[in-house]
Amino acid sequence: MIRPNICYGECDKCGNELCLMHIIHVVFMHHYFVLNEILKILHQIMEVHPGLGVERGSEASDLKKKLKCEPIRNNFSNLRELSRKLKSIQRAAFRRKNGNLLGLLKLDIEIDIVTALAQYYDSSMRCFLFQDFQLVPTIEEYEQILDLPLGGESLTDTVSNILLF
Amino acid sequence: MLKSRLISVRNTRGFFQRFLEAHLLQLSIKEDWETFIDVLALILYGTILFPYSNDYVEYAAIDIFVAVRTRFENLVTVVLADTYLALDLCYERKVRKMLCSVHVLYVWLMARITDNILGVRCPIELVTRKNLDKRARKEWALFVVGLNQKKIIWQPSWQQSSKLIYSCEGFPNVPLIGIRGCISYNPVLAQRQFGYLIRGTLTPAVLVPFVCYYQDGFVNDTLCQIRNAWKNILCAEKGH
Repeated sequence: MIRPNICYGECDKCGNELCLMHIIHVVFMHHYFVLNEILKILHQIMEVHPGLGVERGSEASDLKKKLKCEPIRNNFSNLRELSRKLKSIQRAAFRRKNGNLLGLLKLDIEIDIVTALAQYYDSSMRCFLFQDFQLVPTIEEYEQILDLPLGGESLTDTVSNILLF
Repeated sequence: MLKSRLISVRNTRGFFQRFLEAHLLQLSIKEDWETFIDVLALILYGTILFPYSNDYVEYAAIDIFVAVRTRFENLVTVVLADTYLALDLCYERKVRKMLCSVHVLYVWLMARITDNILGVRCPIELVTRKNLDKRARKEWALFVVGLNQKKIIWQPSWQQSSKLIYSCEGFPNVPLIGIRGCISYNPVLAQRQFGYLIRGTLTPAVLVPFVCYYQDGFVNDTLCQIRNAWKNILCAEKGH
């Protein structure tokens, strides 16, 4: 029987004291490693057989679908029709004032992709957490998408310090 | 005359989208293009950037429109704040409606996972030119489910700046003011998106969450605190 706080000698892997906590630690790390290997193999299979991948993917999406969120679905057909009345000079004027809003209006988006993405949001870290990486929507990327550089009056009295990488 | 057209949806006030569209049509007949541009922008604020309900332009969206025009407030941080707040509401308060700009979030994701086209500098144009068909889109939704780091384009050619706002004074991260509340986000986690090598380890202190909703009560102090914090910011930039 294993009792806590009692040393069972030295660990043959790292030479530390072999106590209960250490055993748990080693066992856990080992299983974690094995689990990771299995995941990697599964991924390779999915990549080699794309058909299988889609099937597995749909299963996974059903399992993962725990968050219920519904984006607002607006009808843009009238607005698209109306915005076509603008001539190119007026379009340029629009873009100067409002950034690339007309580009967003023209774009046909697929809401399922966004709801699929929302399943991966991690509310404690504020990012989209995937299996081996994370993605964070940032000010800088949004600036480029909207084509509205940060600046103007709101940042005139801002001191910015630079951290070099 | 306008006041009589105000309608009310879930404790907010605003206008029917179709009412504003009818107005837009009249303006185009009169060929008053300057007003046309402003009204069109206003509707797009209410439907694309800050949607609240179907066929509805919320008064708050009009407020933002006015603030951007007259006080040169920055729109980008508000749109970003709303994205985080909407996701936070969905997760923490089990709100089913996702009240944020789905368009921008969609472009943000798609621009990271579709291949570059040489010379395209605008993420929206990139995504538009890829022009996915209906069936391909269904597959994209499944593709998101199986995303891994190899499928992400870490250095897209449209990304121009390598400068990243890292933190604001008094905060370990960057606080944002949105329509319905304030929330902070963690640029430290985005280092890879900007091509930096990850430095140091992440401590819980850096990721300290900060969120408040206006509906919960008095927040003036918080707003002042955030406005002051933005007066002194720390940017990350690549060394030469």
